[in-house]
Amino acid sequence: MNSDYTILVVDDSPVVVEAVRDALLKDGYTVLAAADGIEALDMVRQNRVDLILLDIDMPRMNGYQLCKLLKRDEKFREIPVVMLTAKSSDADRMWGVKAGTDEYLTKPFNYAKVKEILGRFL
Amino acid sequence: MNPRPGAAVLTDKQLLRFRDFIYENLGLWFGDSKLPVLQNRLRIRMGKLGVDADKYYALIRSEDDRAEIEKLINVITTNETYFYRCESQMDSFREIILPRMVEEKIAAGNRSLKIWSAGCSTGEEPYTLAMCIFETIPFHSIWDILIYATDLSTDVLNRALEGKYNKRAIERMPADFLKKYFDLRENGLYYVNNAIKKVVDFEYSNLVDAYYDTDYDIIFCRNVLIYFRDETKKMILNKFYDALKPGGYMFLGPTEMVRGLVDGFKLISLKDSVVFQKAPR
Ligand SMILES: C[S@@+](CC[C@H](N)C(=O)[O-])C[C@H]1O[C@@H](n2cnc3c(N)ncnc32)[C@H](O)[C@@H]1O
Repeated sequence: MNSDYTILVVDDSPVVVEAVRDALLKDGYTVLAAADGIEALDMVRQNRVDLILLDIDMPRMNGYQLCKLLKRDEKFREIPVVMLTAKSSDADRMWGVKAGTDEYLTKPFNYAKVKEILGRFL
Repeated sequence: MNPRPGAAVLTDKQLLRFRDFIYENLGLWFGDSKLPVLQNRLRIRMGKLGVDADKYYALIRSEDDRAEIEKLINVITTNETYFYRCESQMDSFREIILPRMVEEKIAAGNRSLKIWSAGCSTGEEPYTLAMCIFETIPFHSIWDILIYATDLSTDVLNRALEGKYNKRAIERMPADFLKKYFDLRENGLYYVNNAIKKVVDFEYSNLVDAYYDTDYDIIFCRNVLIYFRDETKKMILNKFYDALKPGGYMFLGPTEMVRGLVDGFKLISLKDSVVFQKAPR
């Protein structure tokens, strides 16, 4: 059941967060949201999270930094991270891979693609 | 200044709007004397995109596309750098500070060294530091060495990671470094070797952001603070203070001082340069 899964959406743009959250809620997922890496880290520490949709450019702690931290931590290493970003060049993908992301999705936000990936990881 | 033919027009009022936006969102400050530089760079970018100033302003403000902000950062930052920049300072780092620190660490049974190159540009600085460390620490391969190198321009980071340099970048370096730490490839370019690359970790981050580790032995932030206003400098220097271990060292650019900006650093004079040491406050 989708409601068994908690997805954490991390993006500093309320517009993006809302769009992604609405779509996920419609499909029955439990959704948490954070506006930057620091907030997201708190959430991951306090809640069970099954997958993270992660923006890159954010104030305070960016997506690469958060991803690196999580992947370095035994407790959180297994949570799939999907970077959701406007960047699309090979170099940008490479930075994501270097930070340890499990998957990479480019904006503009396409929910069919998100679903496909959720299906793969959950 | 007269616009070049074909270049986009930018009124003073528009220019100031861009300046404020850049300051509020990125922390970088273009003082009045640097406004012509900003104007030029913006014009080039707008010319390339074929948009006018109002359109461009709308574009960088649009909520869900940070891609253009990244491009903007790439054009407005100044990335001048080279290997072994500020020779006397690098000599002092290599011959005085590093040996002192290494000796203390060995006495304490600690074989790890963590350095932050903040505003690393295309990589010359962190790679130079790695080379100095390899020169100074006899059995560096049994050490845990990390040089964390950050910048907010993705263009320069991509080049840093590639580690490919022309003759001009390496001119000031001690001659034997070239033999020991580079592979010469065709077309006159020099590639930093893998042993050096392995100890440098590049990361995209803005110094104005709040997140940082707090176990650095040494921080290098040279020729970067000049792009900030005093209030931003204060914030960053206090961040560096917190990021350093007790007794850790901070190297700034040769003309950069901290008086009135941060407390708790002791100024130490070296041969032809200075270094700031973290003291209790
Ligand atoms: C002139 S270069 C100095 C490079 C090197 N440290 C040296 O001294 O040769 C300045 C670098 O600082 C970077 N920079 C400027 N503002 C920054 C910020 N807020 N966060 C991180 N890097 C920044 C620029 O992108 C540029 O690559």
